[in-house]
Amino acid sequence: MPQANADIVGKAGSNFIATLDSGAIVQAQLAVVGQAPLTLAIGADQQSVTVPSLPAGDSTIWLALVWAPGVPNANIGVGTVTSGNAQAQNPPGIVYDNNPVGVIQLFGS
Amino acid sequence: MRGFFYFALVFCFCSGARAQTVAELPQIAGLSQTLPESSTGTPIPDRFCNSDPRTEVRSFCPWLSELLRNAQARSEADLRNTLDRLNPANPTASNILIPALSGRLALKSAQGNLLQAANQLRTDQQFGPGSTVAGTTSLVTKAGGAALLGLALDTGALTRTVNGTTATLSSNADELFRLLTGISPDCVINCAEGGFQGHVLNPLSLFGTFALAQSSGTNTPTAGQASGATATNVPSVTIPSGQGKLTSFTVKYQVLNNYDPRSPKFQENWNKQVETLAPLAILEQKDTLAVYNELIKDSNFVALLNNPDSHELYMAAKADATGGQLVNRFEEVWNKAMITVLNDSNLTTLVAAVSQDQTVFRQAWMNAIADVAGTMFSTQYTFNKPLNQPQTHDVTLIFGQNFGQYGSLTFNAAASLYSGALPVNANYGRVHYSQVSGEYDRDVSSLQSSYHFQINLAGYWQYQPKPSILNIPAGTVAPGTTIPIPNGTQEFVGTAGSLGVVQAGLTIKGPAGINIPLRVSWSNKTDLLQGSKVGAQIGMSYNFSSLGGLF
Repeated sequence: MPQANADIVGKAGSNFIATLDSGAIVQAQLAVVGQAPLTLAIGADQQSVTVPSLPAGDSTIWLALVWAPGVPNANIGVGTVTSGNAQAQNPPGIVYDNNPVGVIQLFGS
Repeated sequence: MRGFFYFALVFCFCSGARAQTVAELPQIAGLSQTLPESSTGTPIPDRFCNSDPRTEVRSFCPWLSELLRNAQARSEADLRNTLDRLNPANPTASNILIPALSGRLALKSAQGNLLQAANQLRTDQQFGPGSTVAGTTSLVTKAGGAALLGLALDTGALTRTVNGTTATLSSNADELFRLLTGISPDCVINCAEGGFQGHVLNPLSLFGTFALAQSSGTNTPTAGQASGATATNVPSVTIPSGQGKLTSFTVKYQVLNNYDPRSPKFQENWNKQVETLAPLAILEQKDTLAVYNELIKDSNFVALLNNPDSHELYMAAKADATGGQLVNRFEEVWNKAMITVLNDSNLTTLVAAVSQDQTVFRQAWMNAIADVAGTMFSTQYTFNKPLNQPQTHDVTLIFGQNFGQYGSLTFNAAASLYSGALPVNANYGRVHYSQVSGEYDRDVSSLQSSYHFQINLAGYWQYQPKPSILNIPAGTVAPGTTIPIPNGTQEFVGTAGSLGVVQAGLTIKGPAGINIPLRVSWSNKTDLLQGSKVGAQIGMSYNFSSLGGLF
């Protein structure tokens, strides 16, 4: 997948927090092709997940979400970057509120 | 019912003309405020693709429409989110891809079966006719209706003197609309169903009751005497035109308590529901990931993931405002990605699992809203055509309260008015009767059980200012004579005043959507006769949720 299609781009190995601005995340799994998915820690606000180490190349965070009725779609952002660097795309990626499954695409360079 | 199907189809074409992405509300009646434009839900599908015969085009239609609407004014980079969702190999498109695959793999019947199982746990659905029909098992009308299409056969009488046997067809207007039009196939929750669909069709249930023991007939003039020496003047005859007669037609509208999802109180109560819904969301996420992991074993699928045709789709949308080029280009993209992956024998099972997860989640999400919003209230109108009695308009207010594992209570308050102009010198007024009634229902079986048993206890009180009216049709011979009554007449029968009924029963709910209500009742009198009556009622209804697999 081209880098331009990722929602968050950063340096491989970076530790950062990926955020949504609506919805409630109840599970997050980091998936890399050919590897077992890694369950990620969810923030107390249920709108952030910690990526401990950004994989090189393409990876995907698969989210299980619970949406309240009428809440807006969620914009994908980047919170605290503990190590390395990570930026959200502009315009930001969107997780739509019509399904309990959402996706954040990552690219580590 | 034919009229309703026609109505649903006509509305389909009207809806298809909507070309704007508007602020849409969830499909729950009673939501009090609109939300900012384009901030919620999926885009609205457009006519150029929403009735396309190809499943994949219809599934991706909201996103094709979104791209077509914006391609002229916005750059390709600005439309990245939309273009990603038009790449079947992109993980963000998985929610759209799975309904498309489900259609391709003919998996909808499995989805329907699961919805049916979920419906069998409910105690608030009405399938048969109301209490005043000859041929009913229900003393109290429930607030809910069939999820898609229901058929009920009932025999017995509660307030009527004459036993009857009826068949009732019932349907939810919005589910039927979604089924027939295929709109929002990828939408599980927060569906973009505002306006007429969200606020009128979704809360609307329709019932048509046919008396199976009554024949219908047509009056026709005779063409002369065919035999006999003595001339007999028979100017017209009634020819039987069918067995089974429409005896009532009912329209029911459900209203949830008015609520504002942004109010702190709603959010506090909703947060409690998140815990309940979380396991179902996690299951769907796990199963969706399993589908995706299976798909990326295919080299053609991965090739499209790594080299998306986003630029070509964007250019096709920009070049042709009718959407024709865009749909053709998308079909090429789809075929490129799916040329071999559909042959994967594991895919059927995996996609079926997600389809079922989505159905269960949708049902649970709707129930969660009903729990948070509180009491369900319905209003119902029935046009009644009882045999040999005046036609009536009946209006019923239905109030339901669900106590979860402790059962549910339903209360009715109704008034019945005589239809049409009253005869000259009528000794009665417009009001036929008024009534109040209540019912308690509780599921007494375990959640895991295939068969569910629900106990039902009900009470009914009706006040009638005048005795019941019996129509004596024209041509009826006066008693003790051979003189036919030329213009017909009406007679009071029975007594005015109170009519009370109590009823106890059991409803057996089978795993395939079959319900068998068994009831016994006692009443102090009936509509036409004085004196108490003990009766039994039995019925059978079928919840046709699995009809979804037909389309």
